[in-house]
Amino acid sequence: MLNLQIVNIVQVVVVLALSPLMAGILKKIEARVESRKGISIFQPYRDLAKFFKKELVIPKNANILFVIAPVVAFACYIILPMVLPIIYGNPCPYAPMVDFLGGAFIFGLAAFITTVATANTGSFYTSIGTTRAVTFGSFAEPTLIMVFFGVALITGTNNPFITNHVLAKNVHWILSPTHLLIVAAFFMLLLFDTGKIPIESEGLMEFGMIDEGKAMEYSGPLYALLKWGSYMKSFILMSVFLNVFAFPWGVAMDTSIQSIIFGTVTLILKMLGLIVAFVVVEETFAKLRLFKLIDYLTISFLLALLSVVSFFIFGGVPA
Amino acid sequence: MSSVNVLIAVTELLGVIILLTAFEMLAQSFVRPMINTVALQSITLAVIMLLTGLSRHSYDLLLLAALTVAIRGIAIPEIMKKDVRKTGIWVYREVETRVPALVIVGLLLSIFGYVVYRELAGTLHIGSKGALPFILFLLGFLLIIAKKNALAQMTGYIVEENALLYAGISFSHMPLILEAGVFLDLLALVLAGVILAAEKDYGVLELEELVG
Repeated sequence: MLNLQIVNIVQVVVVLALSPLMAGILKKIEARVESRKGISIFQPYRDLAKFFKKELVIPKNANILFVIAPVVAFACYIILPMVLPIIYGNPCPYAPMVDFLGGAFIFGLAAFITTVATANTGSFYTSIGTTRAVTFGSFAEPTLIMVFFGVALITGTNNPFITNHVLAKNVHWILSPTHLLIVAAFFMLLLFDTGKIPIESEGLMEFGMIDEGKAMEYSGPLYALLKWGSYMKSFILMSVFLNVFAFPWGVAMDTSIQSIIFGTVTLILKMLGLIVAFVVVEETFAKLRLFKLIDYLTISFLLALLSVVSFFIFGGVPA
Repeated sequence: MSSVNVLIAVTELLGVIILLTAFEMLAQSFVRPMINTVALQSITLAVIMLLTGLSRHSYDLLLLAALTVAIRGIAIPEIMKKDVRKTGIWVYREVETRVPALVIVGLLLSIFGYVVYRELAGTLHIGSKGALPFILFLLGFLLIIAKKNALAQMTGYIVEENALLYAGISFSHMPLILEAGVFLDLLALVLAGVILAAEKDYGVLELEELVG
């Protein structure tokens, strides 16, 4: 039996170490589907190492926030694995401090600080990225809140660990319309937040860039931290989607070394399945025009709200 | 989980899918996908009828399901698509697309519909089974109001007829002759609509969306 603090550290290390790998695997599978050879799955690690070695340039007018923002955002993504079920399904020592909304606040802090930091850079592209991120983010929030409401209605709690246990025990709830609609809405939100096609906020294309625009003025180690942070954000969101919403089984339930290893391996397997789903979406859909993103987010809101409505129409979850 | 519960769960899921197809039609700005969606909606309804018929051992519902697929799933959409092919005007989209606004209005309408239905059901003691058809009925109205062209409005009418049929099978036995009457009604309406539409001359739609 391991100490809970050690499990905590293991979760953080898993997120830190495996998040670039998942990004690399996604890129590799996509390339194979497109009949390209593609980059090595370890390329994101090499990129990060390269960025850490590069020179750091700071814009003349930037304030102190510009420097501390990537660090704070990175710290947020280190805190999140301590309070969410990543590989271990019971609360670690710090978990009782937050519920779903608390987790969303930590995500929100990271987004807020990187947004504020771009204020004085004087670059045109950072302000494009920032205004877009804020505009579309405000349309994504209602969906997130509705998803939390839906989960709270089914499971009677707002705690990710209890949600995981309740869903894992009640297999037949998985089929209920409320749950399926929540999963669909959260999946759409996941595509939005991780910047996959139909959104494609990654990349430097001016028409579509959102997240990358915010990082435009960063260089060297600070850019590496931002980049690593975005990998971690994807990883954490994906594991929350899998462990709490879509596939609540296969999470380590005690702290023995075997079950922690088992939890890690099943998480990787589940995530590979999710990556395949991402690849299917990315290869079959076209990128949406920027102003159509609001339509997309409206549809995700529709699914989330219908999940709540259907809960009341059908009189709760199936017995 | 017993097989009856699985059947109920699947029926509920299909009901939600029917509701989603109505929203898909609200959000859709091209005519042909709208017709395809209404066909999908009818076929989903037929599957619900099939499941309900099997669980209640009432075999006229199976007949009705077959009729639904044949007439609403295949025949009427084909007639309407023929009209789409004939006149080049239908390849354009609705002049204005107001997807977020319409979807939000549809959502408000469904919540309103649920609340009204709950009050009704409380007074009439009819249970919660009819909530989905009732909401679908309101959404059909919204579809007719919101869309600007005749074929789209006709699909809205089909949605309403679907809602009626859905309500009929949700509650209890509706005489087969009545249901069949609804079918003929719909067929006649669509034929008349298509003939009228063929007589009418359409102007050039302005592609305002490409501006700005």
